Amino acid sequence: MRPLTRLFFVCALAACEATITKPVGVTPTGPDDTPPAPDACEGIVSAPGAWPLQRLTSRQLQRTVTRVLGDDTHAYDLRLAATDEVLDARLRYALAVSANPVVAEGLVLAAEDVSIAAVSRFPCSGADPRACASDLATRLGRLLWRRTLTSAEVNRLLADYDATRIEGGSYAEGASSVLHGLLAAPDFFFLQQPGGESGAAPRLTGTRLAERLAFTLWHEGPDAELLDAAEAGMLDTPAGLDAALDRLLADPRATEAFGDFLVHWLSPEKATTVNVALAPATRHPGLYPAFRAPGAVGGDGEAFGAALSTFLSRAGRPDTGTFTSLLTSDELVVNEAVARNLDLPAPASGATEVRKSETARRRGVLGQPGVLTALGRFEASDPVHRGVFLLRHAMCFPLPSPDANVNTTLPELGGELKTTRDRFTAPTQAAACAGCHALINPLGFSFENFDAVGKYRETENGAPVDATATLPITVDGKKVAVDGLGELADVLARDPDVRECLAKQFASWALHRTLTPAEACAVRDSTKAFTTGDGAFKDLVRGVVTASSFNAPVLP
Amino acid sequence: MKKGSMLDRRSLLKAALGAPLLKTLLPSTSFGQAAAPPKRIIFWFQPGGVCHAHYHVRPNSTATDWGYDAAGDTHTLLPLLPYKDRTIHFDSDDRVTESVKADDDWTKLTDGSKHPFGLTDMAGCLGPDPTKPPDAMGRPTRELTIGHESFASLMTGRFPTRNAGGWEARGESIDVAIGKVLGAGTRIRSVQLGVNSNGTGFGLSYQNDGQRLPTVDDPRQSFQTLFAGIPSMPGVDPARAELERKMKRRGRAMELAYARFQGLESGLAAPDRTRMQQHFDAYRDIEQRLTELPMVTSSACRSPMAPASNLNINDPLTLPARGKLMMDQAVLAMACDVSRVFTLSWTHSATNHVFSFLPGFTTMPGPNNEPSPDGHHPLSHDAYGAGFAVVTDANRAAFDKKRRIERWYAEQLAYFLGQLDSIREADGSTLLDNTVVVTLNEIYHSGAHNNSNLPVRLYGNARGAFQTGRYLMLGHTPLNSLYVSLANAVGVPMTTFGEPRFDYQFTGPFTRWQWQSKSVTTGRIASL
Repeated sequence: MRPLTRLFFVCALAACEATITKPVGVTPTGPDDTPPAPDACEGIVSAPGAWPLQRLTSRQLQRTVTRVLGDDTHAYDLRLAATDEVLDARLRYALAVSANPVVAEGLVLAAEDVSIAAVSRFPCSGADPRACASDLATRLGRLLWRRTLTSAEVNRLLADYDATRIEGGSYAEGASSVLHGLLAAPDFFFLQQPGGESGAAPRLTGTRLAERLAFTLWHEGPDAELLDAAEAGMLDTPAGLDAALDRLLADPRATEAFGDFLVHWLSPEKATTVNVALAPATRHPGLYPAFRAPGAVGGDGEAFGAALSTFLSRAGRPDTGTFTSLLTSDELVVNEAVARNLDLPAPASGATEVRKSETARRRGVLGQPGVLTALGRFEASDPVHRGVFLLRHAMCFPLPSPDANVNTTLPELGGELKTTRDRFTAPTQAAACAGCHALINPLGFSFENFDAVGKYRETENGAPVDATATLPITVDGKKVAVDGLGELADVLARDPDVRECLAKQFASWALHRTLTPAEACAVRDSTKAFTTGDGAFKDLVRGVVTASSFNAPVLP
Repeated sequence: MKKGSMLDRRSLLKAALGAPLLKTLLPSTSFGQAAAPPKRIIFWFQPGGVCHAHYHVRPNSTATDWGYDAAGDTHTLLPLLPYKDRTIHFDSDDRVTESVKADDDWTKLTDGSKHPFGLTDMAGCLGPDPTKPPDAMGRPTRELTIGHESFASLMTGRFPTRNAGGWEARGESIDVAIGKVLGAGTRIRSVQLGVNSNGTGFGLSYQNDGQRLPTVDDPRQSFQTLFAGIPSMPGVDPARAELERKMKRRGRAMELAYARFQGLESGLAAPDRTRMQQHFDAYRDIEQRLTELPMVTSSACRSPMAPASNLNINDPLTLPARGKLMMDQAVLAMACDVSRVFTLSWTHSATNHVFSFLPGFTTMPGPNNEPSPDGHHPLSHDAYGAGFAVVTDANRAAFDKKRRIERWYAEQLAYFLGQLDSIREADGSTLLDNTVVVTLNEIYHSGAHNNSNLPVRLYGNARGAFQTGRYLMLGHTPLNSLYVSLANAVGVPMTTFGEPRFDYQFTGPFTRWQWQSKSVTTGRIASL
């Protein structure tokens, strides 16, 4: 095996060095006389990405029927969730692509389950039941198909109502036929696709724009007010679009959907969201006796996730939040599990409290115990994965993975190795590892005041904790030195490259596809207000939904 | 849209609704006169390779004089001995039994060999890799990956292509291809069932040139798909009238959808039109079974018990119960002739599933918070040390757990075969007599990750299509050739399947596949 191992070490090293000499996103570490990186977008030309006909995911369909019809059957989740395809666990967006019998049966039978259960929520009080059915087709049809139905379409739905009644069906059965027809039709589960030949199509306007905005910002279809604005042409003026965005973003649904983006962004490798990583979290019972593993009820990881959601619903609000507040807020969300693990005073029974952090070294979302635990190990903090997370997710740095043959076993603590930092330093100095770890370690070590469950510490095993680091980030040609997470968070919050990276990921998440290089540059330009200003998320959203990648369709 | 197809469908519908629910209540008393029952084929997938010393036949076995007794009580296939006469156990005639020595000696075709030998699939060999040097003749090198990803080619028999996210299958899989012909008159042409099989991107069955067919892991969902309208006691169905009314309304909703598909499709760019048409076709595909009551033609046809509504399909402890539900559903769905082609996926390639219902398995995560080391995939690696051999005590402990997993799978297969053999068809034969069950595994040796000498066995002979009770040794044979033979055995004529030729061989340890001077052509296996 020896020659083979050496071969892979060389490969791994070469891969990392290749990225080090080609700056992407951050100005990487190197000799101090490294020239400033050229504009990464200069001369970038690429064909715009095609917009294939887009089917809504099971989640979007379910949320829409829950909102419009008050659905409580969860039929779209139950029947279709397993058919959504995640194209790449690292890209973290779901797509619904393939047409096959399982999908078709799910679509037809979920429509049936939902329509039968929903009808009782729309009783007919008038004397003319057919008029009630007509009202359902018109009013609910508009919300489900995200456009006003033509009279021919309404009549076609009413024909099914009539046929059911003629067979002796009740009003409820007739009305559920109308809903079934609306839900089983492709108008419900496909986004409206511009027609025409392959190539550039006219800009999105009206209800086509409205539904894409709503499914991106709310994860569900537009409401009547947005459709009114769309059909009156108001979304097609900058002022009208701004007003609509303000309203959309102020809605709790937007906070929920943007929070969903953020928990995807915060996920460690190999998990789709930070909550998915937290739910099964366990800790060494000897070292972390307070930490409860999941059992019949959720463990502390799940409780940490809930606290994180509360944090995000404040600092991560898309209408009032800023990137700066997300990263540097001095708030710490404390519930019973957080207080128990962090040795803080317990909140009132069952309560979740928002407090000021106990130390200036705990700042922002990275200082919340949920994130620190998701990026932690069973027995210790995990500087490597904390650093890898920042490089990949905050800086969009294409860090290669170590080859599977690299021995990643860490030496045990003891003797000379007093702290976690000691334990990680020696094995990452090997020639095959040093290239990448020169980037990873400083970022990760600046988190070292926080252990594997996010508890603050100044000493570890009797030795003082060293959270100083010289970051692979240059400001004015000099590498930045920090001491602790608070200072790191300040640097990251100010770094325009970190904001550009977030914008790129939000755009990709909104479009359910990767951006071509030219599209990424267009997003960079349209989100300038976000990256250079105070980092308002409202500017991020506005920049992404006004970029050509969002509103200028290119037919496949 | 397909013109005229609506009319055909309507007339079909009328004909079906007019037909009697129960064509024949009792099996024909005169076996000779009964129409021959249909042939069926089942693909049984379990991942992770096999524990060799406990898998192979005893030394010096011959084609007809063979057995599993070499490893004594620990042999993984002992539960299948009662079906020995109805088995074909494949092996390679190149395989040598000595243990692997130097890992760079690629001429020895031992269990850990990377050289293609025995039944070999297309895995490990992706599209031409432009970054790797061509061979001396200027022919391209193909990129190599390691074994588990081979699920994308296992049943399609085509080299997958690589995209940003992973591997993309090409072509259609053998179950879909056979189902199109064999299942033409049935309610579902091919059925994909599984337990805990939805791993990232995992799938064995593909249609429409590489579109994955989802595997249904939820027995409640498959129960509805397979048995709607089929009573749990022959001939008695109190819910029939209500279901018929529901189906009528459902049919109208689908009619409306067809009109909307057509309305939306006009004007779309060509690729979008194709996608819309595929959705239309998928609706058409399921229309008959969603809108017409099934015709029950066999006295053995009944629905199984409906699965409990609070079933937790993620609980590792209920895997055996859910597997049994799926097996029972498959057997009865065949008895009802709902479908003739089934694929049963037990978990997925590289699964971390912990068989925690077996003694000594823990679901506790490992020291680095990684999935439990008792997961099937971690065990399959921990079982082997240097030279792909079981060396250390830790290796032996993992190996023993892996062996017990395989033994458990063999018990399940024995149960399944027993159920198939317990159902009488109209001519007095059993379901198993008219069926062939094919075992598939994405790799052979989980230490070496190779895709050679795949642990394929056949049970049943599709009503005498080939001779069973044999230990059949093959040279380097593409799995595609077995598929061609199996398709013909169940009455689906086929001369080739998947890649028509297999032209590559490894040229060195872990490096690359290169063109082989002597290529192997896909076609029926003569000795079968």
